[in-house]
Amino acid sequence: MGRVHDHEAEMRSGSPEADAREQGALSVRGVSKRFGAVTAVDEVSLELPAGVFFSLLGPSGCGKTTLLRMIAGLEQPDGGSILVDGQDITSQPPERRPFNMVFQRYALFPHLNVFDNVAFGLTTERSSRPPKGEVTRRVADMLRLVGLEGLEQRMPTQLSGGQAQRVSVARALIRQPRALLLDEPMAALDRNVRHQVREELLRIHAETGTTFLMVTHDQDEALSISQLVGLMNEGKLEQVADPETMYHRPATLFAARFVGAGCFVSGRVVGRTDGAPEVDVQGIRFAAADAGVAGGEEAQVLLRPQDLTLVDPGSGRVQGSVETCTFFGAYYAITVRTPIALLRLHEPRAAHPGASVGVDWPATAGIAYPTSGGTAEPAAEDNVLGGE
Amino acid sequence: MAARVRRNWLGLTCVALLVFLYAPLVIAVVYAFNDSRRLTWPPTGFSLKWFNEIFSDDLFSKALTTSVIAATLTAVVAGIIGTAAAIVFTRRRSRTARALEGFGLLPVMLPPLFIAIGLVATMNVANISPAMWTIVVGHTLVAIPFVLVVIVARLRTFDVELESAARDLGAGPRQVLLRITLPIVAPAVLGAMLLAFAISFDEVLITNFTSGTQSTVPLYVLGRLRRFIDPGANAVATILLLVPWIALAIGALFLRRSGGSRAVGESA
Repeated sequence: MGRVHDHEAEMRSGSPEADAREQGALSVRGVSKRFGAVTAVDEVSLELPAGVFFSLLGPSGCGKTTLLRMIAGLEQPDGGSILVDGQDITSQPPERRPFNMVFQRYALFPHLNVFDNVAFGLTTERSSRPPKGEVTRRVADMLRLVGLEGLEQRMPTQLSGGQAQRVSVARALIRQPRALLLDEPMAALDRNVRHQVREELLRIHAETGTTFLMVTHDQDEALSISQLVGLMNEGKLEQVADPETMYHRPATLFAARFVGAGCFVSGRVVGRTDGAPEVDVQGIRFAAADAGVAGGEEAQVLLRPQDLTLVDPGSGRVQGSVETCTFFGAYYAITVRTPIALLRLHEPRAAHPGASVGVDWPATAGIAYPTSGGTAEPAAEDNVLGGE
Repeated sequence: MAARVRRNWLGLTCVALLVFLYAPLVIAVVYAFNDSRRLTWPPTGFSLKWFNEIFSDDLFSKALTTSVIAATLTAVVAGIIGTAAAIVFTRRRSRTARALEGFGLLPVMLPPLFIAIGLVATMNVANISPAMWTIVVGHTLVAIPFVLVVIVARLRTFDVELESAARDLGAGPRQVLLRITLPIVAPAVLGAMLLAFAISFDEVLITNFTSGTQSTVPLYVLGRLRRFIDPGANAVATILLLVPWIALAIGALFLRRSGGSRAVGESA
């Protein structure tokens, strides 16, 4: 993956941004936040290396924005500490912290034009206010970085959503923060603009080398853009991993349900072969990857659509009939009704609804989770239809 | 057919209401320009002599000066106190703040006569003699609830995230107030100050008690009418009618120059 290290950007040492490259390692240690009786963030600990593009992923209300705002200093934690490059900043007010934030609805100052919005961060510290010429130059640099040259005199109301978002990024980056905090930066954008903004953010991250910490509820966004993803649920971090691991080996049943598509079949762990648990689903036995199940225990097995293949009736692991077949361009999404569950799979060729088929998957393609581990509600038809 | 009849009735009612509301105003203005001393229909001829008479009256000039100074001071004082209080009321969610807001708005429901008597009693107890500042205090008391309502309403729709963004960009609380909050709500503050000016300019009841020997424009009119019904009072009324319009025009000009960026943009 080319996004992990951008050598071209790294060679541009000597620029002021290069100094930020070694900075921005972030430690969150046992941080909690309660609002009344609700614990929004529950003893979360997190270590981020400098320069990483990290996404905090989770359903709405899981505490991810609260965690971000505590890092920014806009909320005060009830417990725990936050460190940047080894320095404790928990008690510092937001204006002293070496972070800057891109707000969900951009929060551009409506009475200032683009130039003054971007320059704002350079003019707030009386002692270190740069001369006018330098302000002009650095604003121009920033607007070039986000691709908005020539829009200096526009008022925020005259900008499109995508442009406002870029101004917001430029305004935050002009202070050369050790980390850029992004709160759902794409939530307010049109779907087709999002794609463009995603690429833009990746490019800016590569060019500046700053640590990016993005909050999002959109798993596609998190998986496609970041080097490291943290999945949050009910105030706790469920898993921190790179996107590939997060997708292929979700650590908990919640993670398995939240990240990626797939269906679950429920069965019982009946034994082990070479350490991998053997699962019995209504008489159908197969091996699955272990996600913490014990022998004799009820288990939920995750099967990803791309791991399943259609085979001739009579062969494969389970028999069923095609229920629906939907064209998606690169593949057909097919649902097959089987005695164990309604299975979903992706095939390059169409199948006729009603046709009898077999469904096969490689050994240990499934991942077995202990049933008790999942707190999330089963998400409708994706899940177990068979079983008890 | 029935619908048309009903619509005619509606129209008629509206016309009647408008006549009821505006006829006295029209009559006052028309007779201000009438050349006869007696108020008889129809007006006998056009003349500016009543305006001439009014403006050559020393008492009127003095009253007008007093009124303008009092109204300006009231606008400034009520504007400052109202803005400060509105910021506290909208930023603090404590029970005390909410109770204070209620108390701040209460004078709207108090009879002005009650306020006036209270002020006179206070002045007697504290041995204060009537002066410009006692007039301003009385007017400010009446104007503040209106100023508060306007500015609190504006601050409630203000996107607090803008203040977070400014803090995040290195601005301390003072800078946030001076560079972000106040400039953005400035049009509302100005509007509230114009309102305070207008309220002060034609306040008569409380002024009657707190002004002592000084006369304001409304007091001057009252004094004049007490002696005889005369077209000069109509001329003064016409001038009084113009004052809020002039104030509004000034406000509109100011708003246009400041870009007119009221609430737009923050919600985008």
